[in-house]
Amino acid sequence: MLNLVWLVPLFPLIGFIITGLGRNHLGKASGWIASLAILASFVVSALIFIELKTLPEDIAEHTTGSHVVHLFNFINTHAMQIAFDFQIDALSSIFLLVITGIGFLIHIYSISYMSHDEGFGKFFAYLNLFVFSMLLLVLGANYLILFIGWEGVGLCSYLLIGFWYKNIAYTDAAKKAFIMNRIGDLGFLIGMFLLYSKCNALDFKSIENMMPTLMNDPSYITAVALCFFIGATGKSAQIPLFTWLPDAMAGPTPVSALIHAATMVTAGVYMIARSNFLYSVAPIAQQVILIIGLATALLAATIATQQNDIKKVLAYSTVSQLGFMFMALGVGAYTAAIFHVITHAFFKALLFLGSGSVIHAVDGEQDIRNMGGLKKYMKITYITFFIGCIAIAGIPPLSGFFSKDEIMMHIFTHGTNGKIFWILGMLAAMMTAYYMFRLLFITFHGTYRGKGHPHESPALMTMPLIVLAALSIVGGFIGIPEVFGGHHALNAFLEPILLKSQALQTSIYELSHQNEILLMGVAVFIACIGITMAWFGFKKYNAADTTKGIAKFAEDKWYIDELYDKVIVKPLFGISKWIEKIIEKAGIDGIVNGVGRLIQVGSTKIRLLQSGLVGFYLFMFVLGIILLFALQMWLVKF
Amino acid sequence: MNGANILFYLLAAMILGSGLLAVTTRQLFRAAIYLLFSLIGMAGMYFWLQYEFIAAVQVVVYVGGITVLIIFSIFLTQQAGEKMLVKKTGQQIFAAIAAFCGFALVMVQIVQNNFTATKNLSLSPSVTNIGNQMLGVDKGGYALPFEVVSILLLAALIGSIVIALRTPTQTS
Amino acid sequence: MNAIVLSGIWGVVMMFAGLFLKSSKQIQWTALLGIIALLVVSILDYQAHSVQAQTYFGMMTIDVYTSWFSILITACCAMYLLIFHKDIAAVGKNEAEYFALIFFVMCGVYLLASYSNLLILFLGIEILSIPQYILAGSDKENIKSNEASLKYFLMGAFSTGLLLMGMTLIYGATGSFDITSEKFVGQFEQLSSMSSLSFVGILLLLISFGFKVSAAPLHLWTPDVYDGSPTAFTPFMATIVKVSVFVAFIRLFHFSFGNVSDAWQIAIASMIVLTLIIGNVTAVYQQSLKRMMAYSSIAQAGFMLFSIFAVNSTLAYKGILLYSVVYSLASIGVFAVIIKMKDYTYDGFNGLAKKQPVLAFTATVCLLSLVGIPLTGGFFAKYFVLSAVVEQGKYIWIVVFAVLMAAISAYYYFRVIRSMYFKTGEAAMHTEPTTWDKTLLILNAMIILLLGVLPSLVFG
Repeated sequence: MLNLVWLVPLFPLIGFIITGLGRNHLGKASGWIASLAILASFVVSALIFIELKTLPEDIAEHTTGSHVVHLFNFINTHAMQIAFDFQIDALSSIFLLVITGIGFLIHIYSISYMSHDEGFGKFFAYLNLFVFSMLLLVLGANYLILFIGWEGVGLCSYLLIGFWYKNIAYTDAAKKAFIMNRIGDLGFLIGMFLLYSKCNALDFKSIENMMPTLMNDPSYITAVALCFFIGATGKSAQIPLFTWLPDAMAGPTPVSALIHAATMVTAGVYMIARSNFLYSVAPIAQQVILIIGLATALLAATIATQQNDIKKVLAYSTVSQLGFMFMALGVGAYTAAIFHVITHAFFKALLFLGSGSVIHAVDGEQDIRNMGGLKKYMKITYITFFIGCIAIAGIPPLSGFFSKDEIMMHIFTHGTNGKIFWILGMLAAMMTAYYMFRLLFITFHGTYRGKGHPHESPALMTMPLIVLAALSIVGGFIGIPEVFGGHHALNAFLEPILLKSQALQTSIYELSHQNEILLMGVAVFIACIGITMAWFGFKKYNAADTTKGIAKFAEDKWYIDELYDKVIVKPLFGISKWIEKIIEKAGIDGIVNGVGRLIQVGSTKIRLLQSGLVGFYLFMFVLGIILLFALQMWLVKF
Repeated sequence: MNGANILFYLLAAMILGSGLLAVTTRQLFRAAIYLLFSLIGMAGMYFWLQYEFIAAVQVVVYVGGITVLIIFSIFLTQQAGEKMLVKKTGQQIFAAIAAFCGFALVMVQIVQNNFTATKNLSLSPSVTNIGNQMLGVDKGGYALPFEVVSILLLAALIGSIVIALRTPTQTS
Repeated sequence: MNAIVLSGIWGVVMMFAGLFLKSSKQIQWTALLGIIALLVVSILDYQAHSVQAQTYFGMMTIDVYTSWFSILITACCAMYLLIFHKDIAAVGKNEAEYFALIFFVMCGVYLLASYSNLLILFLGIEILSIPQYILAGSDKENIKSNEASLKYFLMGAFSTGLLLMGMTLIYGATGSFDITSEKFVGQFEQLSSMSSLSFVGILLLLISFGFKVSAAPLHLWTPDVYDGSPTAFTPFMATIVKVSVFVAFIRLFHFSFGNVSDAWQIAIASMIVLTLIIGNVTAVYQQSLKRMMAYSSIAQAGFMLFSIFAVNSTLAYKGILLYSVVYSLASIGVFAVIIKMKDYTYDGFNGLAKKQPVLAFTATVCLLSLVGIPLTGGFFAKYFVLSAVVEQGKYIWIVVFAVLMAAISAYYYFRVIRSMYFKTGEAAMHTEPTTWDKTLLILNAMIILLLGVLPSLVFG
């Protein structure tokens, strides 16, 4: 079965081709075809997962649990050999399950959600392509394949975010997402170049095996690790490249769910977890990740408390939760980060699809101030959304509690400053509970403030909600900590791939069971405070309030978009215009002018020669020659 | 200083002097005439080196052909005696500096390079030799470049026809 | 060798075709026949030379690399002619002569790929250039075209002067034009024993080559010439001609001047930096797609210069091969769409995806390849030339800079895609594409995608 792993990305690719070619002819069938393709991938992934779990112990020991399937030689030259290989191990198989499983639910949901859209077929083609890219990313056995998937995901997100392209703001959001991602990719590419220049290989295994020699040069490893991290900040929406994600809400809601929960944004987490051997020996890079993760978690949480667009709240919530995952990566708790990716995938997909159901019910309205009292009209959505909220807030025994708690434990015991980070992290966790319940109360409680008659969504949409709600409840049981008598199945499963890095890592948390339970109690207490604050603040919400002061600052997202616009976009255009002026309009005004004006003046062609652009061009030509000569002679004394 | 040396300096002065005049005069026609003298000086230089054939070619092709062609085109496009525009002072200064830099750069390199003088005449510039080498197909023969030049000229010829051929003017 | 002869002969044949064949269709078919014949002959040449290199008259050396490049470039030219032959004929009355000039250019291309004597290099560059001056000005009614021709000619003459000066100085230092001769090779064995005459000579050659490939700061002619020339000829100049100059460039600078690379690497590095900045940043501001592509061709030249920069690296040789093919095909693909449009501005492309999905799709593939997105050939092309520099171990910063510039390029290429797909508009067509056009464009896009998966196909 492991050798058939290529089937997993193949199905979505076939689905993409069929739905893409037949987008105008297949009608509603394309939705089912696409869903079926993902389901098939899911089945194969599940079989692979089972086989991997039951693999004999000694083989697993020998190969550190990973299995490389060689497909064909991608680049085969004398100087460079890179194979198109897939790597299956605990890490990738878990991601396969999450991507295809949640992807399937989202596909099913979309069939109903998008049923009135004219781009129905195209939408499913894009979705399948998206899943395909993500699978490629996760399966690749070297950084190049990973990068191809990485770029593919970026491209698909561009297509999907700008799906309703008739709205200029939406296409701008798509462009923003793409460019932010490209900036991150840059870091990734440079990291890849650096890695290749020294290791002459890009596959994970060779590089892992080379680590003992590479460790002699810690600054080099730090540089590579930081470059990769820049890539991760772009894809996983961390400071400073996070502003695209909230704007990415422009796409249809299932896309938001797909991007936020199952795929794209977790790519950065996956990549760093995959490169754990690299990060474990780069403490500076880890420290940077920890601080950036914490800052992102806090910043995004404050913004989320003041947003009034239902999807924007969830978007900033995602950014904040990703911050938690990066904090875990920063302290070397890779399992905890993966754990949180999984549980987050469940409840965030649930929340997004739930919000989609709400938006569907109130005719596309997204402003929560115009909602309220929906509890009455849509029971299933309300209950499932509620489950999602308590899961993300971290109330036991729902999934979010276990994963977030594990992260916080690791942070608490991390180094000397661990406790400060823990307190700040708890602050973010409290805000999480607060803004989620604020959202819940404003949307579902009180009286209905909007127009029309809200209605419950069809079964095709509520079914995925129920499945995801169930997963959000039980999802945490894969990683029950020892203090509750569990044995942390996920930890045991992921152990082989982390063996080498854990040998180097010291921060496996060791807390007495009393302390652990105490900390958990504090965490739950803090979450309850957040919920209570939200209850008193918003149980009878009145839309007339306006925000002031710091709250206003947070509502306007700390003015970060404006800052980027001023500091980066404007100057770039400025330079561009300047070069245009100097070189295009050919500087020496009066003597030299554009062709058009020369014709207007009635000059002859000869005149053009004598005092026209050519003279100026030759002038620049000579200047260029002098410059080149000067540089060459000056820098290399000849 | 013997007679040969005096002759060399005279020829060099003629080439450089008329060359300088050719680029400084403000009448295009005169520039062409100065160029003519400069080229004649070159031919004289070849004679002085005892490359009679090349000297003759120089006179026939450059003095007799190309300069006349230039003069023709001046008559066709410009009114004789019309003075050219004077460049702005800034431009002139820059041009002078650039020219001086280029001249200095090349001059310094040439002076620094120690050319080795040969005693015996290394090439025999007889017409037979030139002809043989021009069309020789063995190593060192120039048959290939010779043919390639013919393609180059053909391309230029076609090009000038395309450019010059009158096309029925379309109303646009 | 046979390809050189045939291309010259077919130029003459085209001339007579204009005289004897009355219909424009027949002339076009003659031209297509010629390029196919040329392709066949160059493949035969390749088979003849695949075993060992052969020297002709001490003037040219044809080896595997050379003849393989000849095949690739002929194939690109065939693609160009197949797509554009109708547009070429539509430029003016003298279509036979235009085709003849294109065949003469091909003759120059082969000479540049295989010269081993500076004299042939000079002749090759001139044969390449003179027809271009004419082609640029072939739209005689259009003042912009006239201007392009004249400008190109004047600037080109200037650069030819520099080329000759450089050769003269090198001849002065070595006493030979033959780059394989002992005197020539000995001169450039190491930097310390090199004459300072050669130093200036090399830099002058570098500048002259830089002019031909439109590297900044010698690029100023490019936007005006590419923009002013008839759209049917712009892709020819921007792709086939440009990449063949690159091959001549790499041949001389790696083969002959490789050991003394310290004497010119700084100059070329500054060229790369300037070219990338000016090409990419100025392209952002363009409103006309044709002019944007002109700047894009400057920017792409900046990337190709990396292959010259990475001395004596096999990756560089491979990189320039792949880059040549991928860049040529992608640019041809984009221009093939541009020429079909009425309005060359971005707004003119609004809504093209609705109206002409095939054109929009193929253009998108080509644009993605120009950006360098993985799974298109452009990714590997960039990857190889940059890796070649990384392999050298020094000047890593310039690679970082290049990648940054590639990110900027995404902006203006994606703007086109955005216009085509995400904006609504008329997308008025100048000529409607036929099924034949569409088939060719799809084939073109497929090749680009194929090279994105199997780049080693072009390595022969």
